[in-house]
Amino acid sequence: MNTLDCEPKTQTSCEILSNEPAAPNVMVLTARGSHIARDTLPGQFINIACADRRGHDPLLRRPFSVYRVNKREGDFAVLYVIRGRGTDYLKDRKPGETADVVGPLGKGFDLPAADIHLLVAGGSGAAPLSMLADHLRAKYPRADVVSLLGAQTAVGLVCETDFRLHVSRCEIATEDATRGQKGLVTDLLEKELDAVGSQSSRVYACGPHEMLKKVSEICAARDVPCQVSIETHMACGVGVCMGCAVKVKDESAPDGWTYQRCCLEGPVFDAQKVIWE
Amino acid sequence: MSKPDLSIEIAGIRMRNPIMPASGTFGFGKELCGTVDLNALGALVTKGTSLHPWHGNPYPRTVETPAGMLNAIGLQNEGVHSFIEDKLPWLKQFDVPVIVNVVGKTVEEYAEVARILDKADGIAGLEINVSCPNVKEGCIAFGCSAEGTARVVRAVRQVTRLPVIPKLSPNVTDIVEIAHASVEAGADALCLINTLLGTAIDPWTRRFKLANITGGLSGPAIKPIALRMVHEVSNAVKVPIIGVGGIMTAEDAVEFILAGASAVQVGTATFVNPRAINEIVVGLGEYLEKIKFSDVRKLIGAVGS
Repeated sequence: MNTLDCEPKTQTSCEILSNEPAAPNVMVLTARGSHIARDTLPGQFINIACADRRGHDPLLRRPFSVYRVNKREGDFAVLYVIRGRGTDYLKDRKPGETADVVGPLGKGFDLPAADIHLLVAGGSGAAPLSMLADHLRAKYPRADVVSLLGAQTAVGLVCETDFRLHVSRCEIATEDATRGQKGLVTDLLEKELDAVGSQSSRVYACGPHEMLKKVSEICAARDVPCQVSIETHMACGVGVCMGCAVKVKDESAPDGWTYQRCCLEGPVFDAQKVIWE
Repeated sequence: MSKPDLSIEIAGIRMRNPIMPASGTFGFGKELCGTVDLNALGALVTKGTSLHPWHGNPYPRTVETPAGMLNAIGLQNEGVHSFIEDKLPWLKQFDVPVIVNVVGKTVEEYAEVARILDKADGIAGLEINVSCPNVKEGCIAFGCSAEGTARVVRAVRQVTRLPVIPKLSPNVTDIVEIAHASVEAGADALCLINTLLGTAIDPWTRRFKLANITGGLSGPAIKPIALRMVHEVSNAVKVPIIGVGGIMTAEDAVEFILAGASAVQVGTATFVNPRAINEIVVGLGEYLEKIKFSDVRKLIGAVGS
């Protein structure tokens, strides 16, 4: 069974340091939490309460991939889209206020060796990949770490500055051609994989569901290992409610598949094990 | 005054305190064992366990609602054999009574699961889930009638000497009638309430938010209904009541005990605060100290006195 099962799901009150816009409808919240800064692995997430003084509405925490950590300063950041009632509450939080956080949670990215690591980011999916780029660069100083960023339009691109600190190359695609190549980030991925030749490559992706599905198909066709960070609604975030179901292939199950938990067996999954629908 | 006595005994199960997790909100204990002190729980109620593995419902399975949530998990579990082989041995390292929640699609399945669990070592009681609203057959079909509930309880009663605790549905015309039928069929205690049937629609996609369309409502929003039903049933039957529905704090737990519950379960609160159960136990002790009661049993059914 997953070793993460027994890991403590620690609750921490974190002082908010900043909460600033990064793009239209996108914010970055930074807060102090030394154990979160110390323990979070790329691809893990935290579950933040989004209600006044632990009130009952909105009731549930909201999960956010961790975007950045600073171990020396003991702080961390999440990047979030203002999408509903929870994030609407979060956007108004000010420095000095407290963020009620449970985490870090979930299974993050594996970091095996390869000649080329391709990070495929769709919109705000860039955030956890940015942290991953930092780790890949530190672990494999001689490998080629390439980020592919996609968005509908130029102002929707996020984390570009962070990526450029760690990657060998950063390629951009926007659907409306306001920056980079016109089209989808998956077009960029196909181009990169076509040029890889005999070098070993690995793909890591985070973004809209349709993008992840397409990335998975591209990698399957070329037999390239691929990990995807999947997003689901979550209620508990700690593996007890069974709400965040992701359908995966499972040879040990009688009919060959099972539902795994995005919050515990994920959010990072082997793309070839996911049953895409 | 020395520390208040929180211990309670229900149907022969001795519990150090009257607080336990609600089925389906705590797995089988593993995920939160590093976060919650399992040895400080009154009991541990497991996720619903069926004869064969159940996949559960397609995603989306959960939706937040005002001061609550809907769930349509569909009782995903690996089956009773996996429970006995993998989970029960692991649970034995803790000093907490284990109550297994039993689910089935037919009366025979309930009885078979109960029969298998009766033979296992390390189980303190069986909670009979005749009331989960999220599975097409079984459960809700039985739990919505006195006759259906009685049939399941009788079948389970015949194959086990373990305490049998039916968990009642609130989605009925008269829960007292179902309570009576359960007791007459051999129930040792009653657990109520399970979730309330509800739904939610996304106005922008114009679709239901749950793949299963309907789900069970839980959380603070349902507390007044749960409390009223606990009070009604406790006035009507003589067996102990385990109250559940929207308990977030020790004070909420006290309300249920005053209404007639001998013990309570905490469910959705754990999703909001993983340590909620431990904190509620501590809070209950502090409450008893403040009102200078030496014993939690003095509170049972004591509303108005």
